[in-house]
Amino acid sequence: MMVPRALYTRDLIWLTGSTWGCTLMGWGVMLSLFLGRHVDGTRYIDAFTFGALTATFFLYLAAVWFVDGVSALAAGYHAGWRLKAWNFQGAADAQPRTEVKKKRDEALFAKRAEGGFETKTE
Amino acid sequence: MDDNALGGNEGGDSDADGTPDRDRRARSSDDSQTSVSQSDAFDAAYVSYSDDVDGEDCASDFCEFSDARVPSWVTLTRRRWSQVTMSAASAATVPFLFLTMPQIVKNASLVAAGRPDALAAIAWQGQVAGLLGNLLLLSYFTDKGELSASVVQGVGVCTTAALLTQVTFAGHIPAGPFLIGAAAVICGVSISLARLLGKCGPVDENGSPVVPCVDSVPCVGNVQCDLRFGSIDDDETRADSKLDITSSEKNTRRLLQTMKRLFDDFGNTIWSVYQGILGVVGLAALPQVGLQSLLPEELVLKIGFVPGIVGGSLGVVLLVLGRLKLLPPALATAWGRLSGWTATLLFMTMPVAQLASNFARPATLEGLSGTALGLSQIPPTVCPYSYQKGRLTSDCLRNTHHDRLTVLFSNQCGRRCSPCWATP
Repeated sequence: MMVPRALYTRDLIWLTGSTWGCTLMGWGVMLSLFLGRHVDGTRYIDAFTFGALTATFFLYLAAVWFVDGVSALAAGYHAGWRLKAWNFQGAADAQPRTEVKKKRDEALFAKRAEGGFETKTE
Repeated sequence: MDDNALGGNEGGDSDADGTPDRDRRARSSDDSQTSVSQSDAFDAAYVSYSDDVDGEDCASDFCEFSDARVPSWVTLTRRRWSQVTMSAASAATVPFLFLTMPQIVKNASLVAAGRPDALAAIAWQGQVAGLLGNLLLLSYFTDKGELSASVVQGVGVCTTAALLTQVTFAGHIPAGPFLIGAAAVICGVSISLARLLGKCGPVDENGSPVVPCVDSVPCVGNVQCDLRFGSIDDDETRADSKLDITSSEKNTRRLLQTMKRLFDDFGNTIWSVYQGILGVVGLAALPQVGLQSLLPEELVLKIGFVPGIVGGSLGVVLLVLGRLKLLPPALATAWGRLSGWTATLLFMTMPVAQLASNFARPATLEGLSGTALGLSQIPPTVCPYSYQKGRLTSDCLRNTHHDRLTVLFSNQCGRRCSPCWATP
């Protein structure tokens, strides 16, 4: 439940910790239990339960990345699966914008400087 | 939809939603993401431009955040997604409470039943380490203005502190160290709360974490730098000069401005010192606790506190160099994120040893019920920084005399799990 927010804010620290936690400590331990067996040979977790939980977990992560990516694209930002979306210089509050968005912003700035908005023409 | 409507006016949100700036900073980083390099006048002009081009009113969220490349059926906009993520992060507080509260209630019942000696099983050293991790992350998230994550960490601090208080009253923690630690925790929480409310630390006049730069170092988010309100004061002073006010009023106003500047400087100093202390403590704790989790016990006993001393010394050196402005800009800006990284790396190292043990010796998992395991997966999935609460250790699992759920959620075998950050 923290992963979406960490991804949304493009916080590498937060996303690393949250993804590591739920993947390694959550699913990883469950995998170890699935692979381990009782003395009588049966698994600690049956295959159906493990498969259902695994599918749910990874589908959830995929859905989070997909929805975040779509919403980011719709807002003029890079999707999270692109390296361009991440600011590694610490300026986590300033998400890099897409080239389309940047060009449009630059054009709008130039137009504003020329007073083009007052003419209401494009 | 016309491609010209792409992106709409994210920057205009800050003006359109009517939310106070300070509240907005704590509520979401969406506005701060979009406020860079975009003036309000430009935002207003952008709205006008989009309206002109589209020939329709683009007031709705969908219109503001629409992109020609995104199908029209996609209605999840950036702002709505922000609200969803905020709600999910806030909801993580509830299961986080369920991780520690049963143990607190159980401890209280044990003390009430006249069995305070039972609390001796709690590894309070591990609790203190967990509390430190929570404090580190609390400062990190409050610096970011992430309210929901800050609340989760605050809850972690409070519940762990309550647990340690119980152990102290049961007579298993010396009163002196407890009082010193309690004072430090109260100070840390208070400073973080003040930071969240914008009362200390580098916050500009709008309450935004984006502040002016010093020595060409970008000061964004949790990056440390001085903050001056000189420009505002200068403007006010110039405005005063235009007004025909009496000299006594001028003096009063100047006095207030001076006091405000001193208070701001004091708040910045407090936050800077707190961040420095946390950075040093985090650097000391990371190798000490991390290596204890990963290395064999014999080796851990051999190296003692050397990793912690080395890490702390490194932190002090970096801190001093930073104060003397001798650090490269990249390192200087990274200091503010140090608490986040140290706490995250600490938590990341913990499950590795257990997981390796699980795969290497599956027999140690004998007796663990599937239901209990399924429940144990919830906390780390809900809140990654709470996974120490549900941490399993081989020693714990071998203690078959404990109820499995008690082991998972309460970890009564904490004494045998040392060094362990697990909640007892």
